[in-house]
Amino acid sequence: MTYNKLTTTAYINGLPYDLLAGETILSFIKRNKSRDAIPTLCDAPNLEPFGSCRVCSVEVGLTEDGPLKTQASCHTPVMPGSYIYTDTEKIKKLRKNIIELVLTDHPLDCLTCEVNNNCELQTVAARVGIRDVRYPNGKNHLDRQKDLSHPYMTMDLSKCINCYRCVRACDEVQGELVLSMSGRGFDSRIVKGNDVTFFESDCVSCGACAQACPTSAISDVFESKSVVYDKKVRTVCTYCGVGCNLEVSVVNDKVKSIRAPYDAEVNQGHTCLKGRFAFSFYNHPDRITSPLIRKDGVLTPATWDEAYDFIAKKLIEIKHQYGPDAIAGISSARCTNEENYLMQKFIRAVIGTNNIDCCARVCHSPTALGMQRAFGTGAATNSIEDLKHTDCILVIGANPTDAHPVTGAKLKQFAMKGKPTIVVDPRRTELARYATYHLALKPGTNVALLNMMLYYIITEGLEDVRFIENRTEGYTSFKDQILALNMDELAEITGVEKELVRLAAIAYAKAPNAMSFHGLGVTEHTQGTFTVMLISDLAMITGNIGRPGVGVNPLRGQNNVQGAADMGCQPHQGAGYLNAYDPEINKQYEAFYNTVIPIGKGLKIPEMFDASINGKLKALWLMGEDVVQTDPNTQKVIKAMEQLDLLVVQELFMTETANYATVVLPGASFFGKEWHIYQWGKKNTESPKSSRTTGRYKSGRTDHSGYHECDGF
Amino acid sequence: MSKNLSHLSGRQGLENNLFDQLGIAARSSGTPDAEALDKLQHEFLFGKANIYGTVSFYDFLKEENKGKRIFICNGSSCMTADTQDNVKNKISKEFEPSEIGEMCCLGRCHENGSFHYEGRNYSGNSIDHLSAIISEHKFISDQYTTESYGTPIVTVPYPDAAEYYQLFLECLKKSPDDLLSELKISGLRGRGGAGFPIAFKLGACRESPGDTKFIVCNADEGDPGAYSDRYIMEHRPHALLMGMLIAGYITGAEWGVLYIRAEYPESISIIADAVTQLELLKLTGKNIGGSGFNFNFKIIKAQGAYICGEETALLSSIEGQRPEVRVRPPFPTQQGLFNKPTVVNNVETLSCIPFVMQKGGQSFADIGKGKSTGTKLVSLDGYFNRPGVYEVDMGTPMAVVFNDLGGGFKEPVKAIHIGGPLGGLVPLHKMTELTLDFESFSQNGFLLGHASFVCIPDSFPIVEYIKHLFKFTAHESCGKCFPCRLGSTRGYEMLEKATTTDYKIDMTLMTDLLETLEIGSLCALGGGLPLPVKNALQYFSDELKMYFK
Repeated sequence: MTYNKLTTTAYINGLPYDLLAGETILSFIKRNKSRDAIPTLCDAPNLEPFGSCRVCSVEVGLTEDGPLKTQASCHTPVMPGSYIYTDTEKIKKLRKNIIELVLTDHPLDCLTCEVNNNCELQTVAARVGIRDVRYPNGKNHLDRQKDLSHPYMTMDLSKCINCYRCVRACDEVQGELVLSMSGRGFDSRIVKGNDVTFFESDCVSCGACAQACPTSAISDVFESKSVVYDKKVRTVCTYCGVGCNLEVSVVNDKVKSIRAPYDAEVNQGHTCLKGRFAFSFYNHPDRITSPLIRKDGVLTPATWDEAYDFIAKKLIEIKHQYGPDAIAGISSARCTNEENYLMQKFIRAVIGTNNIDCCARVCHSPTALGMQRAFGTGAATNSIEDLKHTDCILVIGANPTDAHPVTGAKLKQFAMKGKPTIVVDPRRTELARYATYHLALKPGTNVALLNMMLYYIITEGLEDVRFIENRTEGYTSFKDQILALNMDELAEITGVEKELVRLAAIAYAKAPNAMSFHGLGVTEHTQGTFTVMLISDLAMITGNIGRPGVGVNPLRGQNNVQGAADMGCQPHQGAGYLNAYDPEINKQYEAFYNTVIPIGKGLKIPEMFDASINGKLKALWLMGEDVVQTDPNTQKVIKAMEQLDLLVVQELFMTETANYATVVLPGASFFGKEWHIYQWGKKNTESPKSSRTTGRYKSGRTDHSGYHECDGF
Repeated sequence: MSKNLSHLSGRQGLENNLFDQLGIAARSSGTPDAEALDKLQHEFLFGKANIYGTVSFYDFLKEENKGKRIFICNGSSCMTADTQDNVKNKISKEFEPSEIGEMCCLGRCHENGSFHYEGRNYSGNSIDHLSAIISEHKFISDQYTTESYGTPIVTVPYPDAAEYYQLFLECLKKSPDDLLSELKISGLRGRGGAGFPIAFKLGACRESPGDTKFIVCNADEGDPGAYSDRYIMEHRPHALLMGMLIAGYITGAEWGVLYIRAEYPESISIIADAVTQLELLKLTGKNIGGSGFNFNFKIIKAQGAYICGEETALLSSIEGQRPEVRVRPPFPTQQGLFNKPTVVNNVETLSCIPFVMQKGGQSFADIGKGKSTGTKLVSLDGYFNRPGVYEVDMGTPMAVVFNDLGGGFKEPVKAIHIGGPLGGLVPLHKMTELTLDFESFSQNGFLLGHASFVCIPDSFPIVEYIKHLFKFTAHESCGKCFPCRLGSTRGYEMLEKATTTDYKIDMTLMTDLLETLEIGSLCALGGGLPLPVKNALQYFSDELKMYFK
């Protein structure tokens, strides 16, 4: 056989396999043979090829019997038609000799090492068959001191093999640049900051370095790499709206450690400080473990049946005496779809009122409404995967590196690589530091600024005429209104120079694919809905909607804002966003729930507080919502809580609000549920003893309330 | 190397260069202070660790360099010439030990006895005038012979700049493709050691998409024993600059970067003067000669790291990153300086371009032998009767170089280390079998490299020489790849132990180590060290066998 450029085949140990374009030898072999077909040390699934350990070397020939060349497989592309030999005598010897050199400067105390049996060096050393180290004793770094200064991160550089995986993870994944190699050659070593301790450094404790480290040189206090577990459970983090997949190690129903799986599209082996380390609440002694009923002013432990009976009795009394509208429920954007669905169903179908609300309506309802008006539906138009296909990002009113760390890190990577990044924010956020354009507008002037961008896109002739003609309505009058605006006036209002806005607008409009992201800096304004509509207009006028890598993306605050709204936890819309006040639609709900469903206007959260203070609201059921802590005007909220005849609080801990409760029900955390949230995954771990998933007691409760469950939900 | 850091560094453009700033910050005390580092870290959006990592890499930036005032050359030629003990003794009388540093090869291999003081190099008998040098800033220039054997291409004298650059203005009237095809015809190959055809690189860079491209001149002539690039920079600077201008015109690059080693202070100032001259003649800047072509030069002073001669390490160095060797692909012509398409070429290679443009590619190709076209500069060290830089046609018999040009040896020599520390160690009896070209050397198991000649006299133990090579590699290894970082030190330790105790080296282990370095290393530093060591083991086995079991 002769070398043929056109072939899409290459040979591994004599057998032909199909090639993918641009594939490295290592990925080619892994894909066609097995993930561990080639030993590696410096390679990691979420890092760029680096080529330092050379353990992955293979022999490659351009013809079947031609001369062979030794090449590191991790960074060498496969030549079509080439012959790759993975385990020749020469290669076996090379790998063994490299590992022998590594072991000349590595402690040989595997049995007492934290990562014994979980160490990549140990595995590779065993695999290449090291029996002894032939070199005479020489210089080494075995006496390097441990760094145990940090509450989570640990470092023991005597175990370091200089593979740079930690440095690369800190750079390529988190973008924090806290770690680097220092010095050179044999004495080079990892440093944090200006060679300070972990604690003194700017480390954000994301743990990416520890997860990347193949030995125990960098680890964490939970010894995540090596903990012995009864089972590993895959779940979805609920700390923010990103939806990182997590792999939880469980021993005796206790969470021992958490790692981020590499095969999760959302987080690809990464997560943040909270996702990785903030799990000690789960087994915390302060967790509420049994229902509590207030007796003689004191919350006293009770059985579940006692609690259910108590609640049912009180609710029936109140409903009879004051009517169903004296009862309200506040659901939670931190809970699952199923729980939220049941909560609104309980309030509507069992109690018979539309007094159901949750924070999803408060924080991102302008997104829902604005995008519904613009596009017909109010949800993100993309998955995070689309970032790979976009050429420009517009981030407005959001600080994702703080609020959505894993997505934030991806956006930061985008900006750090110099790809056009426009940040519209009064604050110099972390992303703004790296952005191409930072439009530091005056707070509350989003509408004016977006109008400026639209104006310049039109005056520069950068509209997508075909998209506008085929896919939009009313453009002519929209254009006339935009062009009638006075840019000097708007520049004065926003405090941003016209030229800067013009350049940013051009960058957004000229990018082949542009995506926008917005957060609460957009929605939590009186003009939030209009701002969302303008963001949508920007996308439409430039044709940036409807393809991979383009679109409009709200960055949701809590993990299930989307799901809570979808499930109907808001007074004016039932499940599926159908109008709760429309008699025709109501018939469908009634037919489905097989009972009378109210049609009267329900109370929003602030109205509930007013109604309680005015004596109209008598009972409030809170599911995972600490209103005393989080809602504005604390004194007023407290007063509202105190006025109630019945306050039911479902919680993990005794929150500020729980202190005012008549009944407290212990809740299950996200580790203890098996239901869904609307992001990218499913949650699935065991429940702690004595707590119940919110849905379980919803079902229990409906029976006590005299409502009979229909099939399914 | 970090793509993020490459980009962040490039954001500031070349005018405000991070690596430059670090050098400036180190000027007064020998290392930048914390305040300066903090400022630069914020300005360039680097992490503190990144800047710390960079500073700690370089001999002339790192903390240990603080307070150093005078530097003694520890290059191979000064070592075999045995001049440095005397230099050190005399310097020690005037300076505290903490004030004395080392520099690896000041390029004064023709006179030896070299040292560096207050931005100037001294050699030969200068050490005898040390007190005058200190008190009166007495300047003593060095002397060496420069001759051509065959066609002078690089050494040919040129007229004054205004006239000389008419050639460049003529080039601007032709299409870049025409100029590129002349270079293809010429067969000009890289003179830095690898011998890669320049037309291929320029063509690849020209084809790479992007508005921003760079021509980088690798003037980090770090090979101990070599000083031919220094000769060009100090005596033919305009041949080099014109070569870069033409390369820029061919590729569409608007910036030429000259990365010149700190050990060559005179080269830096002469090149700077030549660039100023071009500015005055309006041969740089916007729309040169009304052609629409824009080009500017940036001189970057290196800070003492041999690895920066490796092209990808050099690019990271300019970016202010740690100069660690990058993996390829991407090649510099695709993603080089600041992630932009870049051509990196050696001084001598670029300096050949004006000749090719003036006389045509064929005239260049007619000189030389086979695939080694044109001429080559060779640097002969102080063991020759007529040390100096000679330009010879490729394919010239080595006997001519030695006897007719070098004038024979001052004292008996048993081997010559040709082509830098990673070149072959050629025993004298093999010398007459060689001709001076890439092929002859590689076919005989040696390497032409940069064609530097360091003589090893009969009296100098070969074991000490290969120990020196391991030590040199261990000191200069960037530390990125495992074989070089660990293997160079372990090799040195074995030789040190064998020469100072009754320890005998296991020959199988040494062979394994050499093979691991050769086929396992990421770049030519670790990969090249085995060649001279294997040459020594082959040709000087009698001398070496006592150290092995």
